[in-house]
This record gives sequence, C-alpha cells and structure tokens, in this order.
Amino acid sequence: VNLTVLAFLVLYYVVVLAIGAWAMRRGAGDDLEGFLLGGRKVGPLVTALTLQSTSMSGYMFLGAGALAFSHGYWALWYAAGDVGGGVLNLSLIGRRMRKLSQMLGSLTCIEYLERRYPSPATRLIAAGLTVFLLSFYVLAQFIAGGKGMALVTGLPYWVALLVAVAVIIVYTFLGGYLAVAYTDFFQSLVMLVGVLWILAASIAHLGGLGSANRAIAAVDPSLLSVWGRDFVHQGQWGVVLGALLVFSIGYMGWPHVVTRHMACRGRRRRAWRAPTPRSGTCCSCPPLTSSGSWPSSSCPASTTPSWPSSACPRRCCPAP
Amino acid sequence: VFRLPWSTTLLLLGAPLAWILYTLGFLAVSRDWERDEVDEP
Repeated sequence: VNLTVLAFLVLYYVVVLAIGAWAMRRGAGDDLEGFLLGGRKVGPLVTALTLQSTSMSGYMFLGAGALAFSHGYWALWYAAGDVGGGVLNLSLIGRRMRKLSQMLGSLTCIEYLERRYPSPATRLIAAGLTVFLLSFYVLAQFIAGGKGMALVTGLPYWVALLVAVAVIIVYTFLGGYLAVAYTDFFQSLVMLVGVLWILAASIAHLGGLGSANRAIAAVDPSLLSVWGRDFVHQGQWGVVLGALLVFSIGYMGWPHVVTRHMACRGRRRRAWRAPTPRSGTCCSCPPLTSSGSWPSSSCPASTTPSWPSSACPRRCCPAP
Repeated sequence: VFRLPWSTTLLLLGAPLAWILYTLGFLAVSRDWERDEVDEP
C-alpha cells in the first residue's frame, strides 16, 4: 500500500463528504425538488462541469486508455465524438429540458416523459428501461472506481470497491443532487489537472510527440493508423460511425445527464452557452486516449489493458 | 505531423476543429436567447 497515495485519497474523500454535509446544511433535504434537483438553483459553471464530470465515466479513465493501449490511435474515433458531446448536449437539449421540465412540474426525466407523453405505458417502459440499463451502467462505474482505487493504492479490490461505493452513497444521501453537483465540480477539476499533468509528463518522459510515435511504430506500425492493431477495423465504416456517435449523441439520452439540465439555475442565465464543457472535453479526451497509446511503446510486453491507467502516471510523473 | 500517417493527423486535428466551429456557430445562433426570454413569466 502506497501511504502517500492513500493520504491524498483520504483527503479527497474527506472533501467530498464535507461537500455532502454542506449541501445538507444548505437545505438540500428540505423538499423533494431541493433533494432531486438542488432547487433548480445550480449555477452555470457548476452545471457545465458536473455535466462533463458525470459524462466522463469509468470508460474514459480506464476503458479509453486501455483501448488505445490495445489498438493505438484507433481509439481517437471515440475521442472525436466525445470531444463535442458536451456542447452538442447543451446546445440541443439543455435549454429545452430546463424550460419544459419546469413548465410540466417534472423532477425526474421519467416524470417528464410521462407528463409530456401522457400514457400509463410511458412510465412503465421508461422506468423499466432506466432501472434495467442503468443498473449495469452504475455497476460498471462502481467496478471502475474500485479497480482504479485498487490500482493506485495497492489495496485489495474488494476493500477499494467497498470504500468507493460507501463514500458515494453517503454524500449522495446527505446532500442529494446539490452534493452530487458540487462533488462533481470538485472532481472535474481534479480530473482535469490530473489528465493534463499525465499528458505533459508522458510527453516529457518519451522525449516529445515525434519520439513517442516513433517508439509506438517500433512496437507495431499499425498502432499509428486509425484502423486499429493489424488494421483490424479497416473499411468498417459502420463501426467507425458507432464509435463517433456513442459518446456524442449518446450523452443526450442518459437520465443522470438530463437531470443536470433540469437543475440549472434560471432560464435567462448563460448556462447553455457556457464554454466550460467544450474546453473540459477538449483537454481531457485526447490526452486520455494518447496516454493509453504511449505506454505500449515503453512496455510492449504488457498484455493487461488496464495497465496504462496506473503505470503510465507512475512511470512518467515525478514521485511525490 | 509528429510522425503520424496523414489520416491519423487529419482525425487528431480535424475533429476538435470541427467541434470548435460547431461551438462558434452555436454561440452565434444563441446570442439572442437571453433577450428572447426577458418577457417570459
């Protein structure tokens, strides 16, 4: 167990739990709208960053790096869609969801659908699909959280999983959506700094972008192509289209993302035009993808896809 | 660029550029949104 990493992790958990307690004292539990939507008073900056933070799932921090480690620059197709997902989401449905959900008095996206399209079947189908699909999604996030924590701390996986899940549940129950939004805000800043740090350190470690790519080519030249290792996806435009769309239009249907629109403060504010998601995703997607490619050049013998997520920062960043 | 094939370079630089242009277009289209909503209840 790395005690320095553990100390920072404990500090991080203390901060998010404190945010949960602060949200509770701020009246998050006074009524249902306060608990579920933060009273629809969450500002544009926090809305923008919580939107991005909640969209940047375990895939982005473990899966994207692993994909790039296995298939090189092919992973850029996913990043290409992901970079614009936030602004597409805000520009197309943000303002509309905020206005319509308030007009219809909806506190959840399922309630919104039920009132927008009145039918007993609407709630049944929407709730059924949400519970079924989000169960797997949330499970994947929990596993990613546990694996990520186990990788960086050296704790057993089951301990890491329990701690990560417990902290999330506690701060969510304490402060409802307000706690979630502000912890997301804090987390997104941590993620942004971390990702940019890894990017800069990786480039410095490998001697520049040109050197990094030359080293990748030495492992397997096909990793530099946009078609994957051994050009396995060459000409598969349907797969390419799926990779582009899954994280660009995919965001718009996620209930936990739609909730961010509904909770944003005042329709007259500039939230829907906030440039933050744009800069946030621009900064995070390519580095995450690239930092998965570059370890393949410095450790070609590794066959563990999750290796880049922990080993790249450990190898490239200065030890604390 | 950076010892990458031209197609990879195009994707690496072209995709962010396309989204930046989209964002600029959106900012232009939505510049009157706040004024439009002043009279709403």
